[in-house]
Amino acid sequence: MDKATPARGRGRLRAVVAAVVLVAAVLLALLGPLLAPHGTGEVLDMPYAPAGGSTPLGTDHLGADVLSRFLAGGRSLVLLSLAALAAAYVLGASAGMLAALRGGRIDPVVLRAADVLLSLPAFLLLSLTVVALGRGVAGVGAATAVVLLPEIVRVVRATTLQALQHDYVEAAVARGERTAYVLLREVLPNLAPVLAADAAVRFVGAVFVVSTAGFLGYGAQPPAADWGLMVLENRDGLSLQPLAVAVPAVGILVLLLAANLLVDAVFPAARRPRTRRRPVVVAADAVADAPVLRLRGLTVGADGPSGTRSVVESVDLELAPGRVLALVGPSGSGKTTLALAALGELRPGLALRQGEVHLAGLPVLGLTERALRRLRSRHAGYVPQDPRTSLAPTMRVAEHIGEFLRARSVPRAQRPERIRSALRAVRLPCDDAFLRRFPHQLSGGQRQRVALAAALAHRPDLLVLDEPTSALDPATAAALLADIKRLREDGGPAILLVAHDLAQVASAADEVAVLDAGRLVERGPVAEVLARPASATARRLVDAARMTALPGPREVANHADTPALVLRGLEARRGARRVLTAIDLSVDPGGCLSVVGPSGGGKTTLLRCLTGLHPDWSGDLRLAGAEVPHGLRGRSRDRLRMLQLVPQDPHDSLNPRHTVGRIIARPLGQYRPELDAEALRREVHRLLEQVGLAAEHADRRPEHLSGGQRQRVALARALAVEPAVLLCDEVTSALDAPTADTVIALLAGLRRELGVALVVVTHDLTVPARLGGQLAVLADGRIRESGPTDRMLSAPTDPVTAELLAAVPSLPMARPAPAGITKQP
Amino acid sequence: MRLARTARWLRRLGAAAGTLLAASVLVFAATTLAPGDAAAARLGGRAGPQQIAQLRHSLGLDQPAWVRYGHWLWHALHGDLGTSYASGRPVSALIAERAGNSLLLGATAAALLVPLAIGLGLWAGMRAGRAADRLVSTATLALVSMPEFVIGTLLVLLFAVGLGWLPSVSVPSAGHSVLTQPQILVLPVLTLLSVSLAQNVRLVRAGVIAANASDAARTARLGGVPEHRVVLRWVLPAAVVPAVPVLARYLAYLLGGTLVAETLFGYPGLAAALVDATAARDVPVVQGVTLLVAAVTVTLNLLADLLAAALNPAARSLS
Repeated sequence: MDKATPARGRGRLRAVVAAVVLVAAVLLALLGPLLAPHGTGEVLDMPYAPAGGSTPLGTDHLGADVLSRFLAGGRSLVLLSLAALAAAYVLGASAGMLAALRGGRIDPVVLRAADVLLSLPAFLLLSLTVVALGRGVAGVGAATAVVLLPEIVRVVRATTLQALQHDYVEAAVARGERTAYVLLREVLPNLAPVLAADAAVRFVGAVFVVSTAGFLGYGAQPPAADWGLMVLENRDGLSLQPLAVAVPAVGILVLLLAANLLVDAVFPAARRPRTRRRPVVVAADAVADAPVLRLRGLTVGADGPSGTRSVVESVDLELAPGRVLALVGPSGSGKTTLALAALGELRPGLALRQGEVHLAGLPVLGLTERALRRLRSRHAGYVPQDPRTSLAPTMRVAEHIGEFLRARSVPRAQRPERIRSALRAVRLPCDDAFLRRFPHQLSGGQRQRVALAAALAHRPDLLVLDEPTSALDPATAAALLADIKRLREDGGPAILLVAHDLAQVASAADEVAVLDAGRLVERGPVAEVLARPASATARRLVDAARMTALPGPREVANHADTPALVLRGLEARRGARRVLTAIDLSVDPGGCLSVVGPSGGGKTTLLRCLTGLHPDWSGDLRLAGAEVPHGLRGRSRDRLRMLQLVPQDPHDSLNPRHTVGRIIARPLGQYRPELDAEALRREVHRLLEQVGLAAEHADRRPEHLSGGQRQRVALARALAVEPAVLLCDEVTSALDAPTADTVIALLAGLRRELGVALVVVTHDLTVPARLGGQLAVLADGRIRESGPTDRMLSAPTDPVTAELLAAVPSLPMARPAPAGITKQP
Repeated sequence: MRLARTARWLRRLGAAAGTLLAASVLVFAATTLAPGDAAAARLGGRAGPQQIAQLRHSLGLDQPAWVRYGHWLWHALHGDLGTSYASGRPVSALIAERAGNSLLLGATAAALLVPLAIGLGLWAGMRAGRAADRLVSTATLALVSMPEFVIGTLLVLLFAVGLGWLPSVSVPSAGHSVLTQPQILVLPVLTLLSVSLAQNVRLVRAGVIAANASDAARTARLGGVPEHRVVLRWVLPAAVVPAVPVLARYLAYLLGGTLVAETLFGYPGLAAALVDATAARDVPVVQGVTLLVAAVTVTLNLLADLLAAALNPAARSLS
């Protein structure tokens, strides 16, 4: 697509032009009074005299010079708008931030007050304020501020609340930073750009209100000059002297249009260029016995900032009826592009360079919109990656599946039965109550099954599944893959299964195709690729698959007299609901305790209780034998130091505005104030090396680091204060398999070398399998089972443990074939 | 479940009543805060202190503010909004006479706003990036940059002064209802529509673009669902539901805040009465009109919440 670059260039050009016009308009308004040739009240001619002589724009209703009044009339508008905006922002931002920070009683009071002001239309508020304060500039300024205030309060409150939720804010609070530091250093820098954008929009609103107030006669009083007032005064002479009205109107228009264009260009709304298809071929009837899908020399290109590049390059692929082909490769390798191209879809910005695609024997590319739709409705089904967005939120289950049947021209009378059988095929309930459910009433796994049922309902020949399990938790994903296996055994459609994790799909697929940088680097039966990966990409994928599938625990017993952390009888509430009951945990110095459980089982709340972020719990927590208060505020510096949190999401755990060096130096400076700048720098470098990074990383910002590197920085930050216990919240869940493995190896190494105890919370059983130590299974707010990891993994006694264990993927031929044995021909 | 829903709506109703009560305090406080003395203002500059004191007493102005607020609210709830300082007529009579005209103007604009906003927004959104969409986007951006009095003035310049098709003022002939002269409604309605339509078209367009590019719509298309069904079942609900509360605010604005359009065209509606009363500091009229408009706005916002909940299943079962 050649449009991308010029469009971006045009946007920038537009922004520059708008900025220049806006600056010129504001300057003219501010300096205009100095340029005016005559006084604003000076009568020069008869009223409404036409342009000419000493009055280049004619005269107004009193006979004064329109040009002079125009030049003089913009300053009050601009200054008053800016003053009202500033006042409203100072007041509104303070109230909004206070409400967000303090919560409690202040928050609802502030919100209600904003609601009351919002319940009155803007110009009603204007009239009220003018009645209260009298006409004139002061009244209009105050009124404008009152009109702007409630929206500002709401925006600032919402933005602050969002900023406070970041993991790096929680991490700062958990290590005992003062509120002022958290606000000024962690929250405000990230708030500033949002508020700047909002202020720009509000400026337009302020000019709107001020000029309209002038027009209504609320503001500047004659003989003062004001653009809004000029429109009011000279309205009666519109037919005699239109310039007296048109000139100030255009002044307001130019000011507002330039401001709006600038806002629009700097914060552009979503634009979606459409790819046009040229009608070439019309679909004929399907040819029997051919492969369901055949790609020949398929090449798809994209335009980037540095010229064009191929996303998919000369790919040949065939898929026979009823077979399952797993399309695997690292992210960005072109898997999804290839899978969508199989259905004749190219995402915006992509273009077909060459090659052909045949679906059920029919050419797919180059069809008309209508022919393509008919082809898809007969032969294809598609299930997208993310179950949260794959269903329209306004359609019930039955309506959703019904729409797909309708597309296949299934008569209305047959649809209810077809819907039920489709739901049964994916092992969902098919009673009336379930049919009437909306997506938000379904779990993630159920939604994915509804999408699958809809795709299967019209009995397609080809089903494309785009990473169907990557957004599901391991147990749900395993169940879904088991169903895909069953579909294959029951003679279902041919399936193209896109995945980045070979371990998960290995058991469900017949064949694997490995994609790297748009090229097909390897293809063969699953067992063969697993046993003898030929390409480097495939080898990496197979290695990663072995790691996630093969637990290899190694345990070093380490018995000390005083445990590093003991928790007895914890009970925690969230509001009125009890979320954790009778939790007992203990971890030795240098030991490792993994808390595993399904999502929603209370794992995160447990961590928040331990760190003191969630103070509402009862029970007894001891660190190295000493009792610890429940809430953060009661804890001494030393207690705070001993317990450090490593948050879950590496993309959210580091403040994007700070460099890595600064992020790590902060806790160092906080707990070891004796360090000077040079010593601080050396300490930062030592810590970076300790977590496997280099000194040069200190100068980078988080955005320039990979997910694994960020997680290492978060570890270094926690280690900076020499804690006794590291609390790790799902530290691997946002990382791909090879990276997760290196982070787990690092954790095990730190534990060995530094003697720091680990409390690891995860939903993935392979993490404790590799870390060893003790294991506790947490579900529905209770510890279901606990003990040494080895024993629990080999002989689980609780059904929850067994279920979690069953969700760990297994490889059909996991171990490499012994050397010397070759495949029989 | 049903009980919880009823309780939720009762709470919402209570909140709306609370908002209205707070708005009434605000209205009363703002109007009695006014500097200067209402009695003195009413008698003119030549009245002696004796007369002023007498009038203050007969108007009840010598009582504490909260007593006066109580009296005012009590009478307002019984339909008695006092008498206008300027004309000496009961405020309720003035409102009764003007409200019909405002409602006619606002309702006409509102009836056009909803279908036009959704229709144009959908049309432009489905053609995102093409010439038709760029035209609509540019036109709406220009329109949201123009205060109503500027647009109204330009419309008069074009249609009344230039082309002479429509009257430049919208005052009905004495003794006739506005309905007998529909042509006087055209320019005020266009003025009213301009900004609100532009804002809402932009909102719906953005929603359509997002919904059209969503996973859900793509899945439907890849499953062979015909384009018109994708638009009807996938795109439109997702785009319109978030726009409903905003549309409702604009409806409230059209029905209650037609200040500029009425002033510009001299149309005998409520808002024009409010502007005159504000200029003359005719406190009872200001109080009466603002209270009525606040009541209309709060009611419409409540209805909008109900409608948004009915259209959005996720919000319906959320506590």
